[in-house]
Amino acid sequence: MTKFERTDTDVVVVVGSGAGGGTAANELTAKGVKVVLLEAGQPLAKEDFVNWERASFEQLSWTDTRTSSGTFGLARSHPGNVAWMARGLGGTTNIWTGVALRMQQHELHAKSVYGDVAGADLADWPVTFDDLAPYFDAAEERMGVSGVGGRPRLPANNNYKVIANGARRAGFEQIDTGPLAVNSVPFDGRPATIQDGFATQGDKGGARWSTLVAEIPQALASGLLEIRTDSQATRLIEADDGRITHVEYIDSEGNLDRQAARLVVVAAGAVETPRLLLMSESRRSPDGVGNSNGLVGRFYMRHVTGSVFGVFEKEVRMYRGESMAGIVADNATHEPDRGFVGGYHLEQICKTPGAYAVNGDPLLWGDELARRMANYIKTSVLWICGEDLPRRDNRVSLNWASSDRHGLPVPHIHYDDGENEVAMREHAYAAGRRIYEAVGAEEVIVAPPYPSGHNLGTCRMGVDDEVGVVDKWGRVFGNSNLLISDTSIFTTSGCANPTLTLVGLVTRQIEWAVEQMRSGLLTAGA
Amino acid sequence: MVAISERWTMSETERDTLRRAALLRMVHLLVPQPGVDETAFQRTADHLEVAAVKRPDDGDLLNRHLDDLVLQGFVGLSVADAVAILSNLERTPFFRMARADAVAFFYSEMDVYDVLGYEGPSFDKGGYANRGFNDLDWLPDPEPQEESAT
Repeated sequence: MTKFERTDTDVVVVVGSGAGGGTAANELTAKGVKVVLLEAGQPLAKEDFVNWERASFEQLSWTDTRTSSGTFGLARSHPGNVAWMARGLGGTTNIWTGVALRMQQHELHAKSVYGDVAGADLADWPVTFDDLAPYFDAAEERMGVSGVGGRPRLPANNNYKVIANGARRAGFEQIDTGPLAVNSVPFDGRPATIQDGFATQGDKGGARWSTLVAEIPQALASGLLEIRTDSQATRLIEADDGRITHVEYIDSEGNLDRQAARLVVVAAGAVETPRLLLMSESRRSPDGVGNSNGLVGRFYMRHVTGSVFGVFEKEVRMYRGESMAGIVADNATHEPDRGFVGGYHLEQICKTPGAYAVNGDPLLWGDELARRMANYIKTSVLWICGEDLPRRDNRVSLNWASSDRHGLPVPHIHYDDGENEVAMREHAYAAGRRIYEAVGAEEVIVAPPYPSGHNLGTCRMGVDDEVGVVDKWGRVFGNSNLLISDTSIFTTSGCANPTLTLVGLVTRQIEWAVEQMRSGLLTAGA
Repeated sequence: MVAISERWTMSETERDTLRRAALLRMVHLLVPQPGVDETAFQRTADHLEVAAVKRPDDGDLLNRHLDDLVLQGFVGLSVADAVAILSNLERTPFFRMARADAVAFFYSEMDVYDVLGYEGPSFDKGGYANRGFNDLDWLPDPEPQEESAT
């Protein structure tokens, strides 16, 4: 692998190797730019993945201490891990299921379309759907999304048969196996799915797009990428003029090191990115880089989630095949007469037994748990993915009372459920119940949210620094060579699983950044 | 809550035997899955002990609660009375931790998978493409999907 000097001011430093960072690294190196990629976790290859939920969780999850508070149930049921994200090369793309929906036009203009919503702090995205449309196309092409661009849809699996029949009988019409970034046919050197399941355990076959199997190998082939794994960024070094000159990190030996940079791309996810900015105090930014407006870490969004279980007389075996190849989109609309703004998707999902048992109901044990588990192979699961509204006080902050193994303050996540979220969740539960009852479920169970893989909004885009932390290119206001390239920058959440939109945003952002660099801008200087 | 060590005179080994019996009873009550071999409950109890040692503060918590159960004669109680004792602990951090650890561990043991009918690892067997991923036959095939959007 190529190596760069710690003092090389010509490299771009990318922090994080997930959907944002991995894509950014590939886009940069493809355009001839030198990149040092810092990944907090271990090196991985798809052969390392394990088809066993427990071992895989331990292998791939980000399990560093976090604390939480707020009215959401997870603060009591899962106080140390209210958000689920991954660590290791490939980041959270190693545990995603591949749902590649687009944000919708009205969702990008949430403030204008929804108006004032009590308790929410909405804003419009500083980009339009037309700005993003070509990048949605580009993202679908690079990820090989099934069901678009002439690529065949994925076939119906058992769980889909239950949900599609139920949804049709319940009056829904927009039902399909989704746009999924899982190959229905071989694509880009990766095979078609063998319907093995285990997408959230790494996907050993590589049929599902991840930065580990797609972006990172391509970037390495350029000869312009150096990856430093087990290297956790701890501070951005800011000069008095606002440029970031270095990224400080703890290397694989446990030593504090620093890498010079012409441009810094932070893509550590919506919890670790604001944490890094907030820990980066400087003479110029005593409250953290980019935080002169006090907005870094605020407007934390998840998605409105929850699950519905349909239990049948006969077998479903939901675990056979691609976990989320089934989406009902009829309610992904904005119809305020339903009693809430924004919409939601209903998505099939397979929960493996351990996850189903522990998250189905965070208080369940004893005979009722055993009864549910005896019905495991006769159970179908739907997951709700709905728009969560930004609220100023829902936030990621630093908890100085608790430190990680490096002695750094842990992130604290505060989240209160809003009225809109509660009303939407009830509506979605009822829709899920209708779907299952329409195909003769013997029992329908609703379950509360479990730790979220969708974490958004903590360095949001805005038209100016009174609204957000970054501009329409994802550049931090006041820091000319600092980009944020993860779901932190989402202004609102929409009701699409966020990865496709993120990959599109990052592709657009890096295209712009490289143009700027070629014009002699975006440099850290000597 | 008073630790046994302050109340009773007995060897460390004897104390550990009593704690272990209380822990095993608790595991049986948390995950009373019929048809599962006793060794799976034992392994789950082992796991709770190991998990507690990895979290020093919680390890003390586990032992203190187990001592308390021992003092209440937990192992000899009827199922209804033992369940009632656990129900009273439901809201405590100790119980939440023990429940989550026990449930997640027990229901991801391979022999418990077998009892549930879950087939476990699939990749090395060629996935489910030729092993029934679409063999559900008690519902009609769904309507054909709209072909790929542009």
